[in-house]
Amino acid sequence: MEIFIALLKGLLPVAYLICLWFYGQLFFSADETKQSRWAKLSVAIAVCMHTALLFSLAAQYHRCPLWTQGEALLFLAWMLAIVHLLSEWSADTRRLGFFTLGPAAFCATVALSFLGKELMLDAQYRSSWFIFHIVASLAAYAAFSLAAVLAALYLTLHRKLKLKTFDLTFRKLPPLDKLDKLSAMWSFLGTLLMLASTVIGVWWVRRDGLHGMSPREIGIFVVLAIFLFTAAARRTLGWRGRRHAIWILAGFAALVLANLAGLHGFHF
Amino acid sequence: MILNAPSQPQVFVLGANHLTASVSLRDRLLLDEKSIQEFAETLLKDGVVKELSILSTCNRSEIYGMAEDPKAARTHIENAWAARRNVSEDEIRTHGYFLSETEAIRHLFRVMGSLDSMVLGEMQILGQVKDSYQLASQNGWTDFYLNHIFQSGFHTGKRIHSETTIHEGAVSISYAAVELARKVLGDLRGRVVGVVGAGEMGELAAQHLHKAGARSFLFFNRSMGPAERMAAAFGGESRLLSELQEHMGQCDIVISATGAPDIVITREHVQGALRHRHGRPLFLVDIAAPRDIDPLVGEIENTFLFTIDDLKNAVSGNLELRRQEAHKAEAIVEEEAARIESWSRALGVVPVLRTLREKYQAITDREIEKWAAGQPPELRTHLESLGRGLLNKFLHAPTTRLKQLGEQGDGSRASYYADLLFALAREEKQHGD
Repeated sequence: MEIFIALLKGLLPVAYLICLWFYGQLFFSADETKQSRWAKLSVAIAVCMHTALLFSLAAQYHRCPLWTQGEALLFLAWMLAIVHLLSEWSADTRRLGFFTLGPAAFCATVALSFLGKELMLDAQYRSSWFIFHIVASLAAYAAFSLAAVLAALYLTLHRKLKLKTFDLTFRKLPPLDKLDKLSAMWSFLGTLLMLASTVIGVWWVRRDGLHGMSPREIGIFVVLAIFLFTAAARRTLGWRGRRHAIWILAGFAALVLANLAGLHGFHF
Repeated sequence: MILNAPSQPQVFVLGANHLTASVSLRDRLLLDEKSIQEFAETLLKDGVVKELSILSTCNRSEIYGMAEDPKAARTHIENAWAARRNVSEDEIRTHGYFLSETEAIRHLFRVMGSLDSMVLGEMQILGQVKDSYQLASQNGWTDFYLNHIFQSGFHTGKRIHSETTIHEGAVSISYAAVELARKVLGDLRGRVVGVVGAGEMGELAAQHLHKAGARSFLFFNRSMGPAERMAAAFGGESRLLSELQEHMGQCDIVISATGAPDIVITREHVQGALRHRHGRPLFLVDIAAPRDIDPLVGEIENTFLFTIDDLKNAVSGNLELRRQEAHKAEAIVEEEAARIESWSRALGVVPVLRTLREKYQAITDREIEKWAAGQPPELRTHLESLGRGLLNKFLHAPTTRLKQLGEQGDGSRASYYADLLFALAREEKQHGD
């Protein structure tokens, strides 16, 4: 098992790099049919390897591989790849794979260098509610990441339209309306998942008698507030397009900052 | 006696196109489906032309054929064409072209790849060639050679379509407006289009938008007559220009093409319209000269304004890109033409291969007959199977090698030595006797 895990750990970044290569070719070259086939195959292989690694780690540790930062990051990378596949399947965004899979490849590579180096979490955290909380959070992060990538692409295309720059990126990007709707959809989904995760987290903390409020919790509440406001403003004030994209990017930046603040600081 | 390949028919093309002939000559050379049927049958009747396919569109009329003597075929076709249509042989000769062998194949592949089209990259031609080939094939005018060449041509056309972007990007002003609208709004089905002014340009843009799926049109004009006429043509509504501000909020796309000397759509008009749009983007195209829409409109949030100069830039950019992609397409044509050339060369060894197989098949059959006489039928089946297997294995290497030599252009020398080594000619002569 250890050899298999070591092999997967070595091959996974390579698999993601190959994916990015083919998706890059798909975006930047003319021969889309051929590149699309290779991109589809490469992402299927990378996701299968990633899934196999997560299952192997679970089998080796006899628990969900979510307890350390490295494991959580590896799981986040997997969620990002899944979210990319869902988007590709539901909204035909394969052309954007170079951008939407980029965060997955980055997180997976960073996670692998952290794996097995950290201390285990305290026994208090070994609750099944913790797993629900983490999975919902990571799914929300993945949805927010995709929304942020789409929002950034929206702003890129918006700028090109305003400046009348009809270059390759202009031609390859999907319509503004599609980018706007997709980023709104993924940010709303992320908001729902983040809300679910927060509710589970608060319930679990209260049940187990944990207390405390660290910068991370404050940051997450700020993130939630930004995304809830963005969704509400879109619906009620008609804040679509550029303004909406900027708010999504602001929310995502707040999310990154909140996570840089470190882990939860509860005490018992 | 050494075996000689029977004289192999050569491919040729005789025709005239937009580069070589005037519109009036092209019109006179044009053949409709019925004329093509009669003309093809006339040409094939006396055997000078062995196979043919006739392509006739407004930009080109071409006859692709196979003949043992292409020069004779050329004269024959020119005479028949001149007799059928109101043209002289001299006109065809002066304003047309005649190409044979690799040049003809390359020409066909360039046509199919839309490299020879009036608008570079206009892929409609591939469908037209397909139709003409289908007609020829259904009537039995094509056979082994032309079938193979046309199939390779379709493959070349598909490769050019999928491996290059030669067909991408609008190359007309009004279609460029539609493409930009799609870039902003996505699917145009169900979008509301407002056309300001009832001029030709506005009508052309409306036509393209209608084709792209837009179904709700509002036509604004100073007088109701022209607006009503356009509304009737596109199934929309007509309004007076003075009502524009009131209705602009409903429109997703506004195309302005009036002859007015002053600004017709101001920043205030658009800001007012956006209040009713709940953040939905507004796409505006100003194709009037002088301008109809205040340039400051382009600075408003969720508003995208394009002028005729922007559209011209988009078109020229697309044309330049098509020209760049044409280099890649030419390389594909060369690659595929070279493949056909090597296939054609390999055909030179086909008679030797056929004789070789026939000779050894006959030997095998005789031996099986000798050993199977008076034996149970199962044994005959086994012997036949053994004979077939051995024959295939023994002949595999010489067959492959002969084909390779043929493809490399050494077909005659290879045939000569194969004939000497396997005594094919003598055997044929004995059988002939």
